[in-house]
Amino acid sequence: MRAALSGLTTRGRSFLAAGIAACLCGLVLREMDLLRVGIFLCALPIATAIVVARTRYRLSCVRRIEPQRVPVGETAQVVLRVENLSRVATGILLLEDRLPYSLGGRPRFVVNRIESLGVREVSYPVRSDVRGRFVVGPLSLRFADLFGLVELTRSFTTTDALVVTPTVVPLPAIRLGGDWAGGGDSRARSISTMGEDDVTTREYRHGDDLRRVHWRSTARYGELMVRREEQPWQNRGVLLLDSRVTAHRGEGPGSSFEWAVSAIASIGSHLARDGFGLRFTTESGSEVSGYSADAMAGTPFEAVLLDTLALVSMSNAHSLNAGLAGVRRGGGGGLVIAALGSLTDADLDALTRFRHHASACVAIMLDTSSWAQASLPGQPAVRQRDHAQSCALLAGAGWRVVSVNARTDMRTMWGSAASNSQVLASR
Amino acid sequence: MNPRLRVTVFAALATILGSLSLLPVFSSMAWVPRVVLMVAAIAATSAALQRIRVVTAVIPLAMIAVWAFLVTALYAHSVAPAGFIPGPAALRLLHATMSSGFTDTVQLSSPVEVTRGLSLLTTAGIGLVAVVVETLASGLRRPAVAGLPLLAIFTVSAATLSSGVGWRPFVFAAAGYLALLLAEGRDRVGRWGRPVRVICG
Repeated sequence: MRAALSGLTTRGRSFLAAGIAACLCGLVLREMDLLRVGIFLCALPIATAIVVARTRYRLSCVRRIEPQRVPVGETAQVVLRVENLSRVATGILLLEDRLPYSLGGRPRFVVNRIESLGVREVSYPVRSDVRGRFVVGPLSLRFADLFGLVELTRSFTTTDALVVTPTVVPLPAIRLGGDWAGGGDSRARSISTMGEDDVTTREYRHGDDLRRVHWRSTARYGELMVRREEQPWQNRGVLLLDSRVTAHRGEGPGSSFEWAVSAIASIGSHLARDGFGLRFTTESGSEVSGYSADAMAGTPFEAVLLDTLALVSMSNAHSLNAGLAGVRRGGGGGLVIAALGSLTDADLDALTRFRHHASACVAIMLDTSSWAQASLPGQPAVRQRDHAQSCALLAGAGWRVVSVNARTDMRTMWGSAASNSQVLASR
Repeated sequence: MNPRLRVTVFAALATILGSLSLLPVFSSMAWVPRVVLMVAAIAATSAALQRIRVVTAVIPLAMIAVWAFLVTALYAHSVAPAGFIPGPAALRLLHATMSSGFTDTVQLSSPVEVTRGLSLLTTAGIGLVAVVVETLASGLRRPAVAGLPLLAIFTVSAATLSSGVGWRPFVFAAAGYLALLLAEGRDRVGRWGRPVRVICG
């Protein structure tokens, strides 16, 4: 009863107060008519409160987001499914889902009634213009009556995440020649010349060649183990993103950094679908890979990469050294693709020396001056090389250089990266 | 019927049902048609203006104007210009009729005959109540407060009748008020969010 009355709205409380006052006046003045009005005014909110409170149903709410991963600017559908698990029908339900501001206003729904074991499903669209991970929910639910006298609020606790990934541009399927694929240019012969053997072993079976016995595993397991010859070979590559705040220009979604993120996302997805074993690292050395045995193992690399890129932000690092060292530690790689902003002499030096650790190095050089004409006043005073000079230096050191600016189409970039090693300023 | 029109209709209905508490005051029901006409005219004015989407603040003024024209047409038809415009002569006549009505309320005891003066007082009074109820319920979306002018009508008959109004008129008035609250509640809930349709399952 107490809980029920606590759900009274201002209107409900006013009714009750007016009703009590009218009852008292009616009794004092011995006016039957006034007493009648008073009783009516008291009874209305109390009866409504009891009816609403009695029906504290068991409801379940399931939210799903389709798809859970969307590129920037595209729409995902959030579907809410409310189920009445109790044996009585519900009254009016007001649903309100909580959203971060960048996803838009809070969606509100009115459900007239849900019969026993009934289900209602509603969906609403969400979209975001910035990448990131957004929490959708929790859903709050209000039980209301049509008189507006009682309102009970109840909140669910479950929230769901929507990952807004950078834009992934579908890249043209260009046959990667020569050192790109590390020797194998067809999927049928997918044995890469670079990259390590995956030493997997199995038990010795009758008929196995003794020369294939893997003695170290044998010692470990206590029974004869042989190397599997039918091991998966894979082309390997590393994606390097230059995320230094000093290397990039421009603000928000129109900045050179966002372009680089989108380029890495597009190339990564493209190569992963082509069967490459990829790793992704930033210049400060934080790394994810498609074949590491971390928590994300089992998830396709494309998803891991997009999730990582959805959250990546600019760093305060000064050099590329940590990232390059990480790539070297990982055994170099057949292919290194780096999206680079403005470079200093030290960066150029490090990249030149790094060239020998990979079979092919591709530098996507962002001409950052084209992203923002007005340089920020707070720009650190790091002397940076002129864009054309940097490109020439890296090309001279054996990198494939693709020069891009703010107007470059991602597909054009990919075309020139895959086919031509010349410096190419494409429009 | 759109929700706001529904509120207007129920506001008019609540006013008419509320005015039925005056039934025991009079010895005949001759006053009822004029009251109904008055309330209907005011509700129709509000509904028409809502439909053409005029500024909300204009609607009460228009209702007052319609009220004045109708009172003139019903009680000073012969002297009013064009039959309904409250000119000086018409106002003098209305004033005289009203004074006789006030004299009647003092001199006569209930149940009274429906004199011309009392009829004017009743029709004009309930017309004003209708304007207030409609403005509160539909214009300001405060249907709960609209109970107060309805209570005023009820108080008049409660004060006039020594034996009390009785429960029957009260039930009418309460039912009208509840219907108004429900109509506005539906409108309010509808404005709160998108309605969810029923699916199979």
